[in-house]
Amino acid sequence: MSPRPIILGVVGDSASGKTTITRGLVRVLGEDNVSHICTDDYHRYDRRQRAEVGITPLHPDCNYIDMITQHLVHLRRGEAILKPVYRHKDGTFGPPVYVQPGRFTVIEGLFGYYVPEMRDIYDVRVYLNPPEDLRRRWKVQRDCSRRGYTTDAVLAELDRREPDSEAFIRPQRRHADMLVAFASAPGADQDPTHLDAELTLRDGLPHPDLTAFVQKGGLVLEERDGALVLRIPGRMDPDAAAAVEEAIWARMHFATHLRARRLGEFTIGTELYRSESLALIQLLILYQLVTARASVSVGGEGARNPVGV
Amino acid sequence: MSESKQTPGNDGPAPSNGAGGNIPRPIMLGVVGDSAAGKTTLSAGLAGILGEDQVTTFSTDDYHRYDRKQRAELGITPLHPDCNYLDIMAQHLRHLREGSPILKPVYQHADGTFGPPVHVTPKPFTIVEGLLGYHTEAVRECYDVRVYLAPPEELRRKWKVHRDCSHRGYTTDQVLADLDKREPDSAQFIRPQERYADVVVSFREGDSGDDHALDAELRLRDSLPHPDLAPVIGDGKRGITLTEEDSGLLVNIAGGIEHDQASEIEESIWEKLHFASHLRSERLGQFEVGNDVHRSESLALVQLLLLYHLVTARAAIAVGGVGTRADGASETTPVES
Repeated sequence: MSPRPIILGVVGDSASGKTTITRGLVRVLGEDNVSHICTDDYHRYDRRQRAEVGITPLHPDCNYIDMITQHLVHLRRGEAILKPVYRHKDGTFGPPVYVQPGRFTVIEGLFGYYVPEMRDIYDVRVYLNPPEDLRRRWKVQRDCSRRGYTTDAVLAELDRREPDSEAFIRPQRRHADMLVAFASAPGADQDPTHLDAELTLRDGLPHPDLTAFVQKGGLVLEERDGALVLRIPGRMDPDAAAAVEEAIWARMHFATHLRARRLGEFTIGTELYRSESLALIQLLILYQLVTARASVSVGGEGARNPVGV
Repeated sequence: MSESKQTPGNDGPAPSNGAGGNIPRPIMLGVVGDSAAGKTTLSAGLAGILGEDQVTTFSTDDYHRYDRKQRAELGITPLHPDCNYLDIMAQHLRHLREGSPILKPVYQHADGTFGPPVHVTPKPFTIVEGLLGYHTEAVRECYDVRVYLAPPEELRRKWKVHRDCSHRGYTTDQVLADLDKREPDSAQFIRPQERYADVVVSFREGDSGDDHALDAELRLRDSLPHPDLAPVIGDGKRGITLTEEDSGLLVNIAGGIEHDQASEIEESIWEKLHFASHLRSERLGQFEVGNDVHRSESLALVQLLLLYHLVTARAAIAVGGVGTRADGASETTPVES
């Protein structure tokens, strides 16, 4: 029997950077080893129905929360599911598709941590928590260029969704093992290619010890509300960044074959960029995935600390 | 077939997960048989008697892996196990049996494509009609009552031509050619499932020549405790006979059975269902041909026997039992896939 899949949650509001984070991880782990599920597929209403009912996709009643949970439980057991399909392009549902869990299965979406039964299935829970003004900018950029909306329409929609974001989406961040917040560096004139990052590491997972690297290249580590907060400057010195990455890779000595592909890449429009802070965050997530996989493969439970969150 | 009336979202907010503590689990009836073997006639009749609001009916055709166009390209018939998501079918039936909702796929017979899935919350009785409903052990374990429909091939061909030409827009020649193409898969995958049934039903054209009053041959296997009909049937001179077989009883009901005799037998079964007398209904034995409603004594008896098993299983569960199967939930027969 093959070891159970390792499940990563990447949860956050619309346009909070879920796909950007995930894409780099998939590239490193290999497309063939990763199944990718988006919880938007579990919308209860299509776009037209939502307009009629007057409900946003950010409301739990607009989603089959029970079915997300049921399907996640199957995937975690290594069982296939018949997944519904929501098509962002025209806002309708298509025929379902058969999905077998890969070695690594990424669940991306708005509602990944909404109920306890759902939260229990993840090996790693990431929540993306950018400041609202940055997220609004990202959403305008994406929805106008790839989903065919106008700027005004996107901004109006953001306002309409805000009460549901506050009531249902953002509270999920308290269940994350890793809370990721990118932000424009002060005085950086909103340079999108060198965002600072703040990573909150909660003790549900054993994170690698980075104290030796503090202050080098501007890295800051502090304790806040019982969690470790790592601050990564957008313009971190590349040598210092390389040293931290080296130390993390050293703990993944059984996975050196994964080093071939680079982390930290992202696109704006069709331009490819690289961010040190994104690379480091992706590497810390990768570390958890690879460690969980190694643990399960030798009969362990995974990487999670024995006492639950 | 299973033209589900549900669309996403019309069933209100869903329960969070699983069945509530005090709600008895749904009773699961399997109605398996080849295409046009009479599955819908039988299950629609039962659903009418139990009450539409009490019954979830769907077809395993919804679990086809390929749409009509893909099947033509691949040269595979819907009767082949590889043409169906049998693993998902078993997974979904297990959830329904536990009282949990599912997102059921939807195969549209009208054009042979798939539609968006629908959210289905199981009602007290779930009827699963289909071609491959007993193919895997995992799926067989889900039923309280397993029926297999085994009409003579000749009669089934007649039914299939009639149905597919009038409801599914095919020509007679197309249907006959399709039947021939499907025959190897029917022989290899569909008909062997008969052995897993608790009740095997064969309607056939009798001596009377009246095709609205077919004879019925019933095999009642020991895997379920059937009501003892011997005392009311007696010497069998009045249109119904009982014969002992290795694994159960063979019951032959003549299409032209006297109404009095049929009523007497029905009465004896209703007596055992004394707690369910509100279900007594004119609809027992009714079936439609075109827009005309007919009644068949043999169909009525078959439906009542199945009703007996469903209602008895429901009662057993309601008072804390596990059901009525003699073999419990498990199966001893070998698995083939």
